[in-house]
Amino acid sequence: MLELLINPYIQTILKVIFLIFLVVLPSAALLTLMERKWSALIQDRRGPGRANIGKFTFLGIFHILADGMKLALKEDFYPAGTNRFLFTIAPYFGFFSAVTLFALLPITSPLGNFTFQIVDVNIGILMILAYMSFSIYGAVLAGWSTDNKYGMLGAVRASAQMISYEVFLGVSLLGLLVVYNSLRISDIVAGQNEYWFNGLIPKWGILTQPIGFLIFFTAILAEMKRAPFDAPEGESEIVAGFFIEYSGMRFALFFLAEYISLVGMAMLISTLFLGSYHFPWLLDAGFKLGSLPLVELPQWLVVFLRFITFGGKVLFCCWLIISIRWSLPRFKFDQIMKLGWNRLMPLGILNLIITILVTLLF
Amino acid sequence: MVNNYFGYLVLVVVSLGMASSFTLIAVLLGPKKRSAVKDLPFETGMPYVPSAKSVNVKFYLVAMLFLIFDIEVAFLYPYALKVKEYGWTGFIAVSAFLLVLGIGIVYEWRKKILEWDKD
Repeated sequence: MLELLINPYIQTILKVIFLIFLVVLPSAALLTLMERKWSALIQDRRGPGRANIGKFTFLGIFHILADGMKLALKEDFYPAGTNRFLFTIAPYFGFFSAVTLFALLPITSPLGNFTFQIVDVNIGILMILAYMSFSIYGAVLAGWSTDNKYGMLGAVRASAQMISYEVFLGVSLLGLLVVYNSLRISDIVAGQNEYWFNGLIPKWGILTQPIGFLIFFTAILAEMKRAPFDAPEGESEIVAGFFIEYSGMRFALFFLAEYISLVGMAMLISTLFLGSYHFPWLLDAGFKLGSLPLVELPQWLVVFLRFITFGGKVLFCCWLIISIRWSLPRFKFDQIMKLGWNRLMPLGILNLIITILVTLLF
Repeated sequence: MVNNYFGYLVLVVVSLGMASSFTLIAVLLGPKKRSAVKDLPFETGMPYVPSAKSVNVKFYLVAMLFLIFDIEVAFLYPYALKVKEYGWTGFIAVSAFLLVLGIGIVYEWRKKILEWDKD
């Protein structure tokens, strides 16, 4: 039994099951409720809270169950003139790209030889960018496969927006690579636990690359097609955009993929720019602030504290993204394109030049 | 030594398996009642007109911008990892490259291909 647990292949499978089924899926499901509750709070409503088992409503938590059951019992519908093969595979692309993102993101520091990261390859950042672009195929094929004009408009908008913002995502990460000198995620994470000024200020990505962080965050919002960048699915103009003809469980796949990728992107932002699982001044051996003496802590406690820290950062990022959606109005589509190509792109190049100059001078 | 990419294989199988089992549940549990009117694509209540799959030419220009700039950015990745090793020589070489990139941006800006509200 113990030999099985040491087998690295078994360990990988266990990590996937733990991460996807016990961390990501429950948090994605809870986020759908959190988004509805938070939007209700912002719009001065009470939000969902009717679904119950007997007398218990638990702040509307049963709405997740009720929605899931309702969607599962709907007809598996496709309209006339649909390319059924493309219609079937389109939602899988978005789901696939959202789930594979978690392969590279560590949720806490290694405990002995056991790492809490599914794969750690030397081309980490490139893998993330590559797997992220799979979601574009999903959006384009979903709109293209049906014979619907709104779907077509949404698909064209989605493809133009997502390929454009992928370029700015790449530009914003260049500065980060100059600072941490590696494409490997674990190296970038380790680099963020180094300190300036004799152990006072941590070298987090947001402090070494403030402009890069702004560009990255904007590009992430656009990649997820979330407000204020939700022109591809803008409800008031093109009804639902690229997934207009989807209903029932196939629609649920798009919906679930959106929230899984919300968790994934929040984890990505935390990992690359907010210091990953590192708590300021918490080293592997214990707390150490500046030149003060080290407060020793056992390793399991350090790993646990880092897990809590990472969870807090991810929750903060999710909250920020949801709040932005409910605070800002939607941009016009030409404004989205102009913001990208005429503002973010020159800013990204400028950021790269400044970063290179600072690296060479100091 | 475990193969580095084994985790990706597991994730691909898990994600596609999960997605297809969700679809299978709906296919098995849902009702199946089709009719000629219900089959029509959604058209906000207007009579349905078969659509032409045409795309405005502005979107092709965006695609061309993407092709050029994405490849230029991809060229910068290897240099970004070796900034200190190449030193000032590398910086001058990359400045020339970035100058070309900048000329491309200025050209795109002056040609007004993203000024969609002016025509």
